[in-house]
Amino acid sequence: MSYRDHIIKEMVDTERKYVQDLENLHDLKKAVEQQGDIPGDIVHHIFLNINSILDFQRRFLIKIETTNSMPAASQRWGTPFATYEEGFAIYQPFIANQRKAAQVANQVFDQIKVIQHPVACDFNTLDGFLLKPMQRLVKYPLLLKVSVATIFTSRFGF
Amino acid sequence: MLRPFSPAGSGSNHQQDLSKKSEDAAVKEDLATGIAAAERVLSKANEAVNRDMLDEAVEELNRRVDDWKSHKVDHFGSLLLHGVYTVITGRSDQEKDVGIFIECA
Repeated sequence: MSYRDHIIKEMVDTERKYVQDLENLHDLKKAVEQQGDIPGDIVHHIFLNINSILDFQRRFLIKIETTNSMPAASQRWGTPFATYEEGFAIYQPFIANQRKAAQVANQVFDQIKVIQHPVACDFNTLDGFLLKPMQRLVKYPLLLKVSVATIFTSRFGF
Repeated sequence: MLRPFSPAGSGSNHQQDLSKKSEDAAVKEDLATGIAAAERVLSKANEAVNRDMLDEAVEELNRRVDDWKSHKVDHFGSLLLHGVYTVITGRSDQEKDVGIFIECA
């Protein structure tokens, strides 16, 4: 596998995993709502607009998969990010609320834990999931910059 | 990198090379555009984190100030700067935990 193929695989694999993580976090939110013990506004303070982020990221993943399915020479990995740049604005409220979400989740964690959902097996795990959106945004420029390097390596047969 | 010798007139290697170069250029430009977009998205996210940290500092400041005199924190506008600074008061230079606000009319 060339260096380029390796980087592309990382891009695609981590994107799939990330959407899976969002699905799991969203699933916890539904389980909490269904259980009914925690008031709706508290649930909102914790999960905010995770539904919208998940919907958006599913569409983004489709764009990534489509790019990946094209012949290597035709793939343009910058395009999904340029196309969806404005759509990523939905992350802002969620990220601005991160600290408060963790505080509130911590306060009511006993009530979340009884649901016995894998995302909330302990507080650190839940906290980790709430941080994943920000972490993914940090990763994108890094993945793309490494892709630039692979243009040069592929010229020399790496 | 040595190119194989090609007799004058047979330009296929040269053309392949040119088209590969222009493809590389297109790929590079596309990636540059994508990187710029991804970096703007991240930059806005970092601003949101910084704003949230300043908001947290305001909440803390509100709790810690004993006497606001006639000032009302709500009228102060956004917290611009927060940290430990040396402040010149009427009596002497003191190191204080300082927040700088802008008052909006």
